[in-house]
Amino acid sequence: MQAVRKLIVSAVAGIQEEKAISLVRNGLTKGIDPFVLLEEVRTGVEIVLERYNRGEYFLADVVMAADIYKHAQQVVLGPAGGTANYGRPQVVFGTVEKDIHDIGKNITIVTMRHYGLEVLDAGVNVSPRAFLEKLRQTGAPILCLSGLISDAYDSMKKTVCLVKKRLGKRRPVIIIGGLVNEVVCSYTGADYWAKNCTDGAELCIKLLKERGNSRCAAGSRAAK
Amino acid sequence: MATARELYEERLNRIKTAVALGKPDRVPVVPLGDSFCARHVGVKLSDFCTIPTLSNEVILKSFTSLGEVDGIQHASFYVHNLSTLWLAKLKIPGRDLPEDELWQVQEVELMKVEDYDVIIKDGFNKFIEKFFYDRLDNLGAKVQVFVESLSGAIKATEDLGIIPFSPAIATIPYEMFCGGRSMTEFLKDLFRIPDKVQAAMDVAMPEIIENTRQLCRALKPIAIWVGGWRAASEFLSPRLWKRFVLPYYKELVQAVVDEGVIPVLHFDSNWTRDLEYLRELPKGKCVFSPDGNTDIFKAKEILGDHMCIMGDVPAAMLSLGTPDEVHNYCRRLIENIGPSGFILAQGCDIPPNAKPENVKAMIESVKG
Repeated sequence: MQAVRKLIVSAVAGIQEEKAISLVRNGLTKGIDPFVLLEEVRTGVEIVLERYNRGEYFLADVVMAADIYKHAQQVVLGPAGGTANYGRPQVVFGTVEKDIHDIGKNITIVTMRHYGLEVLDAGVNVSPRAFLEKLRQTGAPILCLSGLISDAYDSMKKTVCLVKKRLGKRRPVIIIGGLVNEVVCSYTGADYWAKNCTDGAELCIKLLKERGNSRCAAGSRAAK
Repeated sequence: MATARELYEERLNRIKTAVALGKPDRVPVVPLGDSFCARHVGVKLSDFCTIPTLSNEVILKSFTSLGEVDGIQHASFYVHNLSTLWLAKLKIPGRDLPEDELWQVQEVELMKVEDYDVIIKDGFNKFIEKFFYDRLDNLGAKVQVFVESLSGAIKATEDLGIIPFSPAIATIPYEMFCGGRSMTEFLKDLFRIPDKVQAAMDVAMPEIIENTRQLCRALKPIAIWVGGWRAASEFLSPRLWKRFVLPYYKELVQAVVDEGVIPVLHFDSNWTRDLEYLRELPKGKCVFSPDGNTDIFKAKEILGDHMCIMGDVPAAMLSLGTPDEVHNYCRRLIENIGPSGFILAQGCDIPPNAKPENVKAMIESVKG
């Protein structure tokens, strides 16, 4: 049994989907706990993310590893098995007003979820008021704003202003990502900027730990 | 005072000297600023992006009011051309968006996985003709407006003594399939059905080459863009990049060079890892044009004796920086990447909210 579990980790880490899924099915027929199997797949995905961080793997590998996990979830839990309840998310994440790009947002959300974070996807072209509403509904401690066009800078700035003004000391930490850098971060008034999906996910883990968020500490196996 | 013809010859010589890795009398400046120009001269983006003749007038008016440019990268703009490159639908100002918001590409799976088989069976041109008609709202008919206006835009540019440097765009099958399938689905295809994707690319490639040759012969441009956006090294492992990206660029670039046209490698995102492989492209015939994400100084180190480099004032600096910051960055480029084999330009495209004084600072920086 131990051998099957090790092979699953290695297949996922090597981005070998067919092999990984066949091993998961094999594990199920041998009576291995489905959640144990899924944890091995998750461990494989974490190795992929670590390799991505070290520059050994690339975005395509992360996208594929995330899909192997989704596939394994469906095999183990059935078609609806991957549906999570994000009623009290730790992160509200959306692409800002005037920008409809969802590619960076989606990949980062998938990565964050693999790090154990509970993320609410607010969608694209999200107005400052809509972000504020989501934050009020959820009380999320982190707000992530994505933007891939330069018109997004002003939308980010407006969102940051509104959130700071309306939520005051109860406001979340605000992280921006996409076509951003230090200068854009300073212009928008955001607290941090992230250069890629794992950078953003790890920053959230760190921030939640600093805030003493026990849910994160328990749920984030990848947190270093 | 020099005539427009004399200015044209002087500027063309300056640009060609840089492309051939020589040292011109000064570094040429060849900007691109589609949406910026519209906002700068107060034309609504909805009109600018759908009326090619207007876009040409606006681009020329904007840049000539900001200083002396040697050339412009695009002579005109037409939003529907983006769909021909990425096989994707668009959100267009005035139709789907407020009149003065920037057009955007919709990331949806418009091309299905079965379409690879259709391409392999029927050929690429046949597939694309039907795809344009059925799934892109008769795109083939729409782009005629641009095609018919292009020679006029080129002439209007030349008449001002300005070089219409790279008025058309070609790209490799990877980019078109990636746009049509949506990036995440396409990246998964590279793992799940790599042989089928490659077979479709190999069917498409000779037809794309022939289309590009015909384009070069009809238009006789000085250069064309050979575009790269999502084929960038940062997205793919070397194994996938060497299989699905590099060979196709080599083939397309060679065809463009064979036609006597300069391929401008308009490469967005980060290509730093694979710069060494660009040395396999013809020496002194191409332009490498990164967008600010590739390390341009590394590019100089690796490609400097092989390929002219163009760039790369970042969008954020043009939007949020000051004229002094822009001037200092440009001088650093001119002195370190140039003065030989270098053309000054923005990275990718000047953003719509760039400050005109920053664009002016970029244009003027070539004078010292």
